[in-house]
Amino acid sequence: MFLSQLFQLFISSDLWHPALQFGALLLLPALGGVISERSGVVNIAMEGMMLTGAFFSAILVLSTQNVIVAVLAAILTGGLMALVHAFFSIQFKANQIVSGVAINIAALGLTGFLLPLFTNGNGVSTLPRPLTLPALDIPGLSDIPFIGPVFLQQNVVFYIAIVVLLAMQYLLFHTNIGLRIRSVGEHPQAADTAGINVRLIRYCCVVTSGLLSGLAGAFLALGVDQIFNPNLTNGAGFIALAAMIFGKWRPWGTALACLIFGLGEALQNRLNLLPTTGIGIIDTPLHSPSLVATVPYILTIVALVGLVGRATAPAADGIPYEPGGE
Amino acid sequence: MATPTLERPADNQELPTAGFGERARQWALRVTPSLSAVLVGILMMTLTGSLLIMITAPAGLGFSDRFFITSSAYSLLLGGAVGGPVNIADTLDKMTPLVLAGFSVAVAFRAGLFNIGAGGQIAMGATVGTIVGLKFVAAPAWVLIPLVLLAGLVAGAIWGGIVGVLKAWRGAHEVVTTIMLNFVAYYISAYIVECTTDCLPGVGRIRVTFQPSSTPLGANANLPLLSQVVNQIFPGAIANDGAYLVNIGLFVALAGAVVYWFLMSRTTLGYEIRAVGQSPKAARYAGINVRRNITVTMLIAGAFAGVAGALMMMGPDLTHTFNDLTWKNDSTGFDAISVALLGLNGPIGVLLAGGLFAALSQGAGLMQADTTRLASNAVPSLPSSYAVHVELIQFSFQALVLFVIAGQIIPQFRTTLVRLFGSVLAGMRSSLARLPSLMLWLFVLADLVAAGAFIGFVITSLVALQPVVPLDASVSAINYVDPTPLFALLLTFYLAGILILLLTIGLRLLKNRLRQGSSPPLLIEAFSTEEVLSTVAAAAPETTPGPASNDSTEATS
Repeated sequence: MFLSQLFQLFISSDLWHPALQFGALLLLPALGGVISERSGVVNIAMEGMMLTGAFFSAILVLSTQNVIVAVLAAILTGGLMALVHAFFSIQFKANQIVSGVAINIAALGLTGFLLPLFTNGNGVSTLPRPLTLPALDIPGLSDIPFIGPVFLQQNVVFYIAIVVLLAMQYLLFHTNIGLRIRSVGEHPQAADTAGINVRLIRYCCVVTSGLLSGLAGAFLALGVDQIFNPNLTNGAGFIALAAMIFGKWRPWGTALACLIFGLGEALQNRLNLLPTTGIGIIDTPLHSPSLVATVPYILTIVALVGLVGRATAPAADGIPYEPGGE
Repeated sequence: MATPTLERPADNQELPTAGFGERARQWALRVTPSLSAVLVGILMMTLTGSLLIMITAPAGLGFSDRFFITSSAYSLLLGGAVGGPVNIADTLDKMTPLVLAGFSVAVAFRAGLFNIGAGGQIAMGATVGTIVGLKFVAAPAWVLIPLVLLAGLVAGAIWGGIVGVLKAWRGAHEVVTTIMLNFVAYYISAYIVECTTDCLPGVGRIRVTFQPSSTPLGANANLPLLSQVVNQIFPGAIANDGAYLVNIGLFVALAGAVVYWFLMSRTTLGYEIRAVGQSPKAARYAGINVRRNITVTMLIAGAFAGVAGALMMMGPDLTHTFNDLTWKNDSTGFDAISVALLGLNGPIGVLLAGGLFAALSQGAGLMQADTTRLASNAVPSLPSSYAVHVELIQFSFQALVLFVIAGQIIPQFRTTLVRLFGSVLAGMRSSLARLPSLMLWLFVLADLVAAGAFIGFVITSLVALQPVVPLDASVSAINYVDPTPLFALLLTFYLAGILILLLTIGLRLLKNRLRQGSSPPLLIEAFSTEEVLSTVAAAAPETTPGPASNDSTEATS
């Protein structure tokens, strides 16, 4: 009964639509992490940047009634948080992990503190439809079974994320700038000798990661959840970080990892809705949505140990320097 | 194991060649940068928070009204944290798991590992502790409590050990594995709750529909409150002994501090862990088994966190039960990162940082609840919907952490701090002469007055808050002494101190700039995970091995 329902779920768009949506949500900050770490700055502050972006997009969409302005504000504030991180880690050479942790928790405190102030203590309730990011709807095409709902009815940001993915791949591995970024991350002394402005490139890359994370925050607040709560992101930035490492600091690998994590999240949400599961009616371990929800995380560890771990040689430490190609 | 090649030159300074005075001076030099950074950071934190409250107060209020709101908020923060025995007990109770989780993160930092997984290790410790506690529910307390602790310790150690093994033998990045294992642990704890009596007899509850939670631990697994223990020994010593939440788990945390200190500074294992943290390659070259050390480090880290989880279950805060979201929403594991960073990975430091964090989060509750009521005495126009939210304190606490880190990492900053406080503490005339001495003494004076005001305030609150009122009870009965004059004094001198300090740093930077001309471009190390992580460790253990005197030589050269 349970297993057949599980199988039914796997071939339905009910599972794959949210899976791709969550995947895109993770992909944006994860790609930000890719570019930032490729340039040699560890970025674990995506969570904080996303949260800041989500907060300011929600606040601004309420005050200006304009989604575009809100999304732009989210992108900018995410970039500002990244600038703080860049300033500490590049200018002051502060420890990057420490700076990232501090930014994460500072973002949590800042948004939590400002939320009641900007909303007169009421918080943000569910946003009305005109104030959210719209989903794509192509008449005719969107009605194709499975493919329509899964690929052609996604939120606009999903398609932006795909474009960013392609652009990132092209930028990092097929352009001069990408080569510079990677060389700066691989051997800054050599890059500096070659006349590359190491600091400038690092600033740009870190700020880019903030811009992408801010966009993801807007996607979360205005697209996926359509609400803002304190700690809305709830660890999404950290999962993005894991996806980035799991994807070996490469755009394609990161995208695959994001898809797996998105699938896991969607699976858990859908399982809780199944009639045979749910809290208090589990009789055997296999029927627990919680245990099924652990599967993607365990798979990640297994994959990291079995496949990725082997390929990630300690000498290169996940940042291969390969001029002229991937 | 430890070959002579590994002895760093810095250790030579600590050899007891000189008398007590010289050693005291060395010690003062060693702790000065950290200590002074923390002190200045606390000033900065107060200042940041005060400014935020003043700026964000409702529109239309005058400066004095805003100031009164600020002073009310901060006096309530202090009062809620340390103002009265009940609040002190609550703070100590909150501190217990935080400190243990802090050691978990700190021991990993020492080995160059970043343990984000304390949350998951706590969840596993609590879950397995609960299962064991319920299985042996009939056992007497003196058997059951150690048993649950041991179960939590083992479960946490296994959960951390997995990370260590994967890192050591497969090179799996511990940031990823700890995050993944956090989620697995949260879902396992949720599974325990969802499970009915059929799959886990005695632990899962019978088909519940509304907010399912685990079966509460039996009375024999409840940690006795300290006040009750005291009353057992001296009958009738403490009236209303159920009001003081601090329990004997506090001693476990203190024992954890001793264990951590002993392990890190008095054993070969601790030496090896630190060596691995400083440079895995050098450690391996010196014959240290890096893999074994990484595994053991994560085992120890997990054990600390697991004990914290077991204590949380046996303590009064969670009423001995957890639901499917308890551990997912519990922030102890993440707060522990801040605590370890602020405590600079030292035993005393983590204890103090944990205490500070607990005090702030404890006081912030009262601040959010009552600032408006207190301030409306003097500001009648203050809307009753206004509140100073606890997030302000979270925010300013992070400012403090950042500041302390900056004090550790930014060289100019550090040398300035060494100059400022090192000269006072250790009587370094040479560096004293290099400072604008008037400024130094002004700063010290301002700081002393502020510290005096602070102590005065704490004493006043202690006297004033005598009525024993738990935080969540109706607070209208509390009779506060008006703290405004003392707080005004405090804030003024904080401000003055900060201004002087910033001016000093500015002058110093300017002077350096003028002397050196344009500085050459900074070359930054290529990113490599191990190296970055070893800098985490390198930044931290500096407090103990003490390159502080190196800094002063750098500064003078």
